[in-house]
Amino acid sequence: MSDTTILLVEDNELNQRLLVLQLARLGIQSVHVVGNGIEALDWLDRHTCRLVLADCQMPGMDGYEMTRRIRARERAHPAGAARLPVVALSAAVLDDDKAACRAAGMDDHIAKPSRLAALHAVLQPRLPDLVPATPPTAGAVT
Amino acid sequence: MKAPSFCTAAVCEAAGGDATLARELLDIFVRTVPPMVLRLRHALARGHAAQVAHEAHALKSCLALVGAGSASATCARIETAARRAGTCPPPPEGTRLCADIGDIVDRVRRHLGAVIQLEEATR
Repeated sequence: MSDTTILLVEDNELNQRLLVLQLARLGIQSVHVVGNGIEALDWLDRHTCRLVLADCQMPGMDGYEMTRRIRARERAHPAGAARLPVVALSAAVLDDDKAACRAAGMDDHIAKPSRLAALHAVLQPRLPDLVPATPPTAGAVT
Repeated sequence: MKAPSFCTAAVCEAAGGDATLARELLDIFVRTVPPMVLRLRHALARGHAAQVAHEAHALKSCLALVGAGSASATCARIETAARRAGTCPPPPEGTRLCADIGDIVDRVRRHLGAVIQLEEATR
């Protein structure tokens, strides 16, 4: 059993790096990164985490299908598995897109590219031990 | 026509004001975006809509991160057309987009170069 806090499901290297560093700023060091829904489900077969952050559009298996399968597994669990929070990462922010996330069983939505404050606002209710998202006081890029 | 550009403030905001993180993100940008553009060019040349959608999606996100809103919006439009209708943009539009993204990458490289020069000058 692992003690990973967040499973990050994202195929874009820039977004992977951004999120890993942003999560570190929020006090989350234990992050496992995979590139699509198939890899995520395979990892979840053997490990546990507290929350999944998933891109919606990925090759192989997208975030919607991955979430549907996670929910199906939870329903099929004989003892009733606890609901794993799944938060969507998506550049699409229309109401239809958010509705698609909810229909797939996702719990919340963060617009890409992710902003530190928005990430904190969505994660904090589910991970109360987060560090506040305050920016550093010196060294800003000009 | 306005030259394609990027915005350091956008990167800084994504990085939460952390200059080190912002610079690392720009380093990754200049390293990872050119191969994406090359793959997009190839997909456009072959008329491979699924691949065009995939590459446009990836580029859309990267360009939005550096504040290149216009190019990101073009990628979004191309992605949507490729996914929903299986269509690719006409060659002039695809060529122009790839050229614009190349210009943005060059600007980011020059910005990073200027940052390095400034750091060395102030040591």
